[in-house]
Amino acid sequence: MTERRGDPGPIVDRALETLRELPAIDSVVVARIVAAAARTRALDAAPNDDDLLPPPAQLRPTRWRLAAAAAAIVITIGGMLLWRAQRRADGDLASSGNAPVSTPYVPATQARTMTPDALPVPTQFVFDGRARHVVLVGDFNNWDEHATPLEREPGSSLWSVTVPIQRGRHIYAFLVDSVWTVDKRAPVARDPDFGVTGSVILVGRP
Amino acid sequence: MMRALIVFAVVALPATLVAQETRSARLEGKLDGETQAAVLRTLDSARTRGLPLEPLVDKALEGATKRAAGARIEAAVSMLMRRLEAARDALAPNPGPRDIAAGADALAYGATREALVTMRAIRPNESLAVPLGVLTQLVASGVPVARATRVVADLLRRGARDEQLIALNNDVRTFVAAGASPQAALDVRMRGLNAVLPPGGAPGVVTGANASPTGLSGTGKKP
Amino acid sequence: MTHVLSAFPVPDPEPARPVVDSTLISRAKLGDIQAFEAIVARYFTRCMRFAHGMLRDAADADDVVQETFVRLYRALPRYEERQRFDSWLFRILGNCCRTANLLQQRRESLDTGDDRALLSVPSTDRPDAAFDQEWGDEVRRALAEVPEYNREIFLLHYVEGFSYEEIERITGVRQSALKMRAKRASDYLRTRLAGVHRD
Repeated sequence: MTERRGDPGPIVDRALETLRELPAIDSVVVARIVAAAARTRALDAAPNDDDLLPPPAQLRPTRWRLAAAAAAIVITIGGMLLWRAQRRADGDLASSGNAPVSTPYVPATQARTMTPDALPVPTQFVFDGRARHVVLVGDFNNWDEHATPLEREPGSSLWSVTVPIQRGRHIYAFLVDSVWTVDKRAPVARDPDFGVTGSVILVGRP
Repeated sequence: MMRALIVFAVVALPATLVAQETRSARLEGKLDGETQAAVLRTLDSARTRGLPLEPLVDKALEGATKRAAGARIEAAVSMLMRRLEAARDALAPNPGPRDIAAGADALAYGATREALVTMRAIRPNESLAVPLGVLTQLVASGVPVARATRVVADLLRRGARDEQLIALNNDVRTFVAAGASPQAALDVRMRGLNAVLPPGGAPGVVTGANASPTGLSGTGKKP
Repeated sequence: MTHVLSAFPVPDPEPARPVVDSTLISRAKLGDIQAFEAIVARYFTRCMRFAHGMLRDAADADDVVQETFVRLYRALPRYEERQRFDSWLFRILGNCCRTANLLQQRRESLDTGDDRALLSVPSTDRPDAAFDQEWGDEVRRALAEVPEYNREIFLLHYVEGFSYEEIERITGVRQSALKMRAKRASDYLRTRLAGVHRD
């Protein structure tokens, strides 16, 4: 329960009972919100407003905050050194089976706080064919038929989308006008569970 | 220290409950009531065993997208849970969720528990998601399990990077598509890699393998 | 979409501001729309509650909450976890509510500032609420009469459970001023509702 702060009195307390009631969750509105957000490009420059940063802290840091800040700095520096060392040792990009990956994107803040192994890899999927609507489904997007539509290159039959995917082996397919379609350029994935063949992609470090 | 643990538990518990609610919400509307209830029971069981739950939810959603019958989805999720547990035990100690899922995947395609144990021994501190994925894919391509396991393990001991393993798999697939047998495709590609990688037991191996200096067929010691 | 099923323990319907799973945030930062959806589902009702309390026209709540989450999603790549996620979310939400109120005020062409009562009272769209409807309507009307700058602090502190320290970080206003604003809102409601409240 919300912590009582001071004592506003019984009348206000009773008013707060009313005000604290949560409305029912409206799944239609939630879906609309998610769809609206998905249409925006999260990778664009952030809005030019003051949403991003809080006002300067006006409090003297406690000992705990100092310790936490020191730990965060050590981890960040360690992670950066490890990441840079591994990048120097890396060879060419290799993600199998598909068209070359588009310009890799790793948010700078994410790179500072994640180990290189845990960084998802921007991976491009390309479908070539005539269709009205092409969607990517796979084990990296919950097989959601609405999550990852491909975009068509104007004037061509090439459709593509780039999604961040964890390193390793993944299964996917295209829904081409709602029809399950394997990627002709990728290895076939036998499906021992459901008997519906998919496509395989092996994602490595960029 | 105790205070920090208590704070962590207080913070983590609601986060866990939120995650449970989220998983349940994702299954809503995708499965019929009976299947959903069965899947949730499996999730509950997996949770008490300390297994990663995302692969199980994913499997259920995969079945839903593929329009599989409820009973089949239920069976697939249940079997995956058993594979996750076997993979977790084979990849001990403390494998990450991605490694467990990759291990379960490998087991599904015929890799043995011993193969997973071997890989973990060679690479105790790094993710095995890519090597296990390559192993899975080689086996799926028709390379016998034992051969595929020996090859991947040997390459790991000799410091092969994930990208080299993926490239190996790509090339095997290309050669097989051109008509070569999987075994021959693997052999020819290994000849190429042998020219690039140090022999087994060379110092400075990136993966930290505790390899013996016995060349290609060397068996690494467990750390 | 309901988010409570019998197979899992049912959380307190009024949890004391649990921290969202940092893995979800990490994934959402990378554009994982499923992770973002989980975040929206987690905070949606709190945001709607706050928006209903803040807005001149409660019918704007859906749009304001949507705008908030879209702005949050776009700003996520630059979110740094040195601040609490919900503090940051409510900062954006507060900005959106104030902007919506300003636009609504201009539409209404009022010059009496924030003392004007809300025209609509959202008292019927809550099937799971168990309260006296008349009392509920009165509470909301009274709240609407509180000046926006006092109402916001009152809602953040007494309804959403933020400490004054956190509200200072959210709004940039000093704690002493925050306490005064919350008190003024509380005093107004006490006086205003005294005639309505029946013990």
